[in-house]
Amino acid sequence: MKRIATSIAVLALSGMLGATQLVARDKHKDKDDHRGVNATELAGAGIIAAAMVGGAGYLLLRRRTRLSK
Amino acid sequence: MSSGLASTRSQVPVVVAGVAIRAVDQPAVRLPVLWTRRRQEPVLLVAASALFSLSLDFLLAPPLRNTSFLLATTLFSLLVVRRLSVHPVDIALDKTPATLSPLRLTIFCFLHLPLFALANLLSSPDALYDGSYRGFLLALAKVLVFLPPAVLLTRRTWQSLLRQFRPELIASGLALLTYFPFRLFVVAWPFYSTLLARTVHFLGGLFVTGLGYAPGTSPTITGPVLDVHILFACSGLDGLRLFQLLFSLLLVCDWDRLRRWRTLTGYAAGLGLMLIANAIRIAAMVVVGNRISADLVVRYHLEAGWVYITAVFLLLLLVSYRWLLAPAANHGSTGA
Repeated sequence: MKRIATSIAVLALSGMLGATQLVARDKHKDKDDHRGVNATELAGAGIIAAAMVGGAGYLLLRRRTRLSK
Repeated sequence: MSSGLASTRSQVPVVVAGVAIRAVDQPAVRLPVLWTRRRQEPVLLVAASALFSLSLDFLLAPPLRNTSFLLATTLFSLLVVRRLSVHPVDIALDKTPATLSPLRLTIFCFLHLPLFALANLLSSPDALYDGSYRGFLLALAKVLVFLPPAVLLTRRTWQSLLRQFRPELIASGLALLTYFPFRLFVVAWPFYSTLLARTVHFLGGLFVTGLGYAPGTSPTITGPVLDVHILFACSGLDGLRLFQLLFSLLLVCDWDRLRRWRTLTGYAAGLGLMLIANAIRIAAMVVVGNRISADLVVRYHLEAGWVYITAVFLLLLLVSYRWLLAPAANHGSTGA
């Protein structure tokens, strides 16, 4: 059950990564219309999403390592 | 590994609520329990005071803001909490068990006032790049933010703490010196961009014929279909920052189980590998853009970059995680 929940959490975070980046990219395109985010904000959104996915992956690996002992 | 930084966790008995058991079997002490030990562990209050005052400094005087300081102090505080939650108070060390005196706390608070005043007088973060005395004074104020905690404890207590928490201090000091080296990259960019572009040109040339190289501040790899400009944003600095943030998470979560020297080696190797991975990422863009679809690269290279960097970190972790950890003690086993 916990494994399923962890997998769902990782999938959700991965979805967030994609969604965040796509939204940020669309806003970035709108920059020409003076409505969107700039490149720094785009990078910020990317690093936050990537850190969340990376952190979730690390916690999953940590859990598996502990269970396998 | 036997060394000054090697973990001694498995040999240290933990005494919590009068019960002595081995550290490996000991669940982490809960924070409220840890808080009651503040009288025995002045380092807890020092770390909390430094973190709180630093946050307040940055809030009240934005020109003082420095994320490396904040990360290093946060990391030190978390590592101390982590260590104290599984290790006993080390009575072998001649430590002065003292709480913070009101007088010292008052001096500590008043020492921040000149820093606030100085930073707000200079007013603009841009002053840091000012070549005149303003830039020097602001840079000085940014560094002096670390000094007020020195008055919180006596010299003897500080010496004791420095001995007892040396690994934590080294880890947070490394974070302070190496986190997000933006200015170092700015200085090194003229040389580093050339090295990066040459590497990308070489790697891309293995798969694509007719690649050219146009030097400059932002060197360009020219191809038959797609030209790739290597800007400062492509330097791999954000990838390094991501690696450092995630490595900090690893330190905090596994501090009591990590082999210190291997962790240090893994950190240095990880930084290098992230830069190499960045060169491979740009080379892959050149190859895909010129061999498969230029439009694909133009549209999705930012998103693909983050996915790629995250995947590289997880791959590195997968390969090295067990190597970084100290082996668990064998309870109940007999030596043959």
